[in-house]
Amino acid sequence: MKSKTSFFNKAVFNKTVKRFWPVWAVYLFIWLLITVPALVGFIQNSQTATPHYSFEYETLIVNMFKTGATLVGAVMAFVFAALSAMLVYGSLYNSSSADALGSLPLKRSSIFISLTAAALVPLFIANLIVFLTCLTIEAAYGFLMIESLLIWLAAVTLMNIGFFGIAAICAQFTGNILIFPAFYLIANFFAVVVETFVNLFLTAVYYGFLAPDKPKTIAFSPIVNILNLSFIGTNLAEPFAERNKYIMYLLIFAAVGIVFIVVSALLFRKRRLESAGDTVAVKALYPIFKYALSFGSALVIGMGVYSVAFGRFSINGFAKIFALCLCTCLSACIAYCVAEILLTKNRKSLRVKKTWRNILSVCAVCLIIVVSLSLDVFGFQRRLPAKDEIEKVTVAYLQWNSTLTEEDSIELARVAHKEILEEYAEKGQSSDPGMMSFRIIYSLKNGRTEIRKYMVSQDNKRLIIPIMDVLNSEEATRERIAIGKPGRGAVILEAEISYGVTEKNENGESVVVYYNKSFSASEAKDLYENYIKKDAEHENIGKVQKATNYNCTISILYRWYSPADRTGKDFEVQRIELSPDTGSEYTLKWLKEHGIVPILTEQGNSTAIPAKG
Amino acid sequence: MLKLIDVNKSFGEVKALNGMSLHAKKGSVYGIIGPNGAGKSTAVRHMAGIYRQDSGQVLVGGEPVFENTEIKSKIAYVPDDVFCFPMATTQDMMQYYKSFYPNFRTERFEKLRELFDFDIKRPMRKLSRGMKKQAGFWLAFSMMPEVLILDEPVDGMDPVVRRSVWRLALQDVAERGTTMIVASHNLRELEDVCDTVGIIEKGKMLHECRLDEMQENVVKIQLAYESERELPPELHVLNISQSGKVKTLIVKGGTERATELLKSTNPLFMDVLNMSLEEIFIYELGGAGYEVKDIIL
Repeated sequence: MKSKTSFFNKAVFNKTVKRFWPVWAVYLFIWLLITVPALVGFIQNSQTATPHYSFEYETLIVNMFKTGATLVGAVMAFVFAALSAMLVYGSLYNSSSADALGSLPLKRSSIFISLTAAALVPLFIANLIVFLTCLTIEAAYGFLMIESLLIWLAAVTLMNIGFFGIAAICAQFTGNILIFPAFYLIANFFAVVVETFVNLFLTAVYYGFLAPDKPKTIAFSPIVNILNLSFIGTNLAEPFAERNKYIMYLLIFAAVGIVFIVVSALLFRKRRLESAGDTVAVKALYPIFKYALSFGSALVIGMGVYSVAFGRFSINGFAKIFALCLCTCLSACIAYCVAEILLTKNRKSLRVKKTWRNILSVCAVCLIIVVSLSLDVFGFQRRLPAKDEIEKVTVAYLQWNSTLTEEDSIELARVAHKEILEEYAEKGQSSDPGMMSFRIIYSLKNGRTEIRKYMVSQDNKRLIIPIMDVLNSEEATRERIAIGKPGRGAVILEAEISYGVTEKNENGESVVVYYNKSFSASEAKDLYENYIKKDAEHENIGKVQKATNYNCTISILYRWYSPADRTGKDFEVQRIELSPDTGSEYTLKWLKEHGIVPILTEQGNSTAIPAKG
Repeated sequence: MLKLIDVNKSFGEVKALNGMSLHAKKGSVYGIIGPNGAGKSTAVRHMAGIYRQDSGQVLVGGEPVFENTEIKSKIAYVPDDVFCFPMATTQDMMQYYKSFYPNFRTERFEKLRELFDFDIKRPMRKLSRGMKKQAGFWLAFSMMPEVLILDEPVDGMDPVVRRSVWRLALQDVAERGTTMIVASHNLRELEDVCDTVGIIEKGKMLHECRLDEMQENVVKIQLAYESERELPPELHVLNISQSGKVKTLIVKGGTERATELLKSTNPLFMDVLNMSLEEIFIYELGGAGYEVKDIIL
């Protein structure tokens, strides 16, 4: 006889919803509290405001739902998905309730579907109630903005599915209700946290390693990615195509959530109910748990301990390798022991030979990784891209930043890089005071990018000279002087000149006093077009940090149609900053005509007085 | 009716069931006895379809129990720790179970109110252990099961209710042919209700037979000799103790055969005493290398 409860059991569903309804009521209440009063307030204010301000209120309403669909929505979905999963699958975490569940004349699949539906349906209903309430309010005031509401509903529902998928699979992996939140947090932050610590580790072992500004694996840490996407802007007022990146991510996230729910169903069918109370409920995951915890701890705790204990000391060479090995191996050992005890619930398991053999293996792997990377077995540290591999190179030191494509300039950059590597090979990492970062970014012809960052002391002539050679190369100088790009309609707006002069103070001592002067657009244009450009023709301006530079910064502000702006309509304001040198004949002449006679940079090393307007 | 055939189950390194076999006939009251950690509760959970065996078969009416909703709807399981939802009353739990068990009879539940005299609207978590057990029985009896599985069933129940519960259970066995499986430490209690007993140790069935046969098979004999005599080598003596000239023998192999063999040794006197299930259990396990002093009864 076929069971009448094949796929879905109403009794399990009803009982679960009845038991936990307050949780979903709180979810609904929070959403209503966030949306309804604000919506009513905005609409009422908009109706009493002048037409111009009325438009602003529309934007405020759109923004409110935008925030709801992103920032608040992500946090709410993240929290309530975990809470819902923890409650509906809670029977699995207690042997008495697990036995009761297992003895019911129901198929496991039927139980799982009923429990999962009991978690998701109330969340969906709550979302729908919020949507309909807001829609009713908008309709009542004759202020319908249905698109933003629909996007809110879609985004929040997709996030509910995505986060619940993660929570459901975490619920199947453990048999302990206290471990569940830990698994859930790890699943959500794993990629970003691991990448951060891998980067921290590589920064410690590789001279010149620079981690990317934004984690590359951010898409695999949904909560971080959604919050990040919300900050970079998903303007709901824009057409769908403009914000499809965000919606697409949520669609993929929800699809992954559904896959996770299906996998959870399979795990639930195979679940050993005797695993109630176990840290890890799936036997096959035991070794993964032990090794993941060990290596994860070696990375996270090991690097954390290393940073705290040794980070402030500039240790080099074998002392550094030893410290890294010590921190990683110790963390891995402790973590393995903890994992073993958690899994076996018995400290005696540490007395088993096999355990110690495994601990030694973990330590050996840690040692191999640390030592091989520290000794640059893979050649990352020593690598200097060949000239013909490089398409362009960007160098940055202090406030100067140049992107170079010409062969000579690229070679100069390579020379500076080579000098840094050679000095490191000879002397190791320097710990001189006054170190500033020098970044070099190679864009290779094969599409790859190689980034290095070195700390270089301004007093280190061996390194500073080649770096300055790159920054003062013909191409870099030309770039520095150029205003905008051809065809982008650059318009000079104004000029600001700050300069230092020597004056006597009341005690009769020579001191450097700084002044600022502003000039109109026409004066700035005159200076740039008729004087600076003439000096530039003779390569007499645009060089940086030269002894022959005057203690004077000419800053010319201009606006242009930025290439970053896809519409080609928005202006972007930028500036060029130049210091004249002794050869800048024309520029100095203009400055003198306008009452500016600065001293040379070298003279500015005496006591200085802050700038005067 | 209910069969376990060479069932194995491991919990990590621990082998909870090690080739366990058991056969409970329809309408029988089968007592599973064994020391702590012998695998009684594990065996019972397999019978209730909670655990999936690593190997072997668990059959009810010739069909596997695990994931078999049809079979499981005929099985009622009363665990040692009766489950209830945190806020649920006995009435709530009745409504809950009613929706899963097609044979559940509300009339019977109402009728049993006379026996289980406590407030069904009181949250179950607030009931005493004994009362919770009563609630468990109440619900189980209302399910009209074909197989009733009880794990340490009467612990915490007062003697009057205990007697009533057993009477009701045996009435079901007699009238409806219910098969009852009872896993317990309370051997005196089992002795009164079981017709078949299986002694298990270390996840294995050590001895399985009808209780009367078991009591017939193992006998206690007291005898005395004028002078020290060798006992017949054919006699299967499980235990021997001596006080003065009086020897007490626990002998396996039937009363008639043992007395005949011993009569041939011309004792001064010989007396055959009845053995309780508890004594049989102790001496059977003692014979299997189990230290009597370690048994917790």
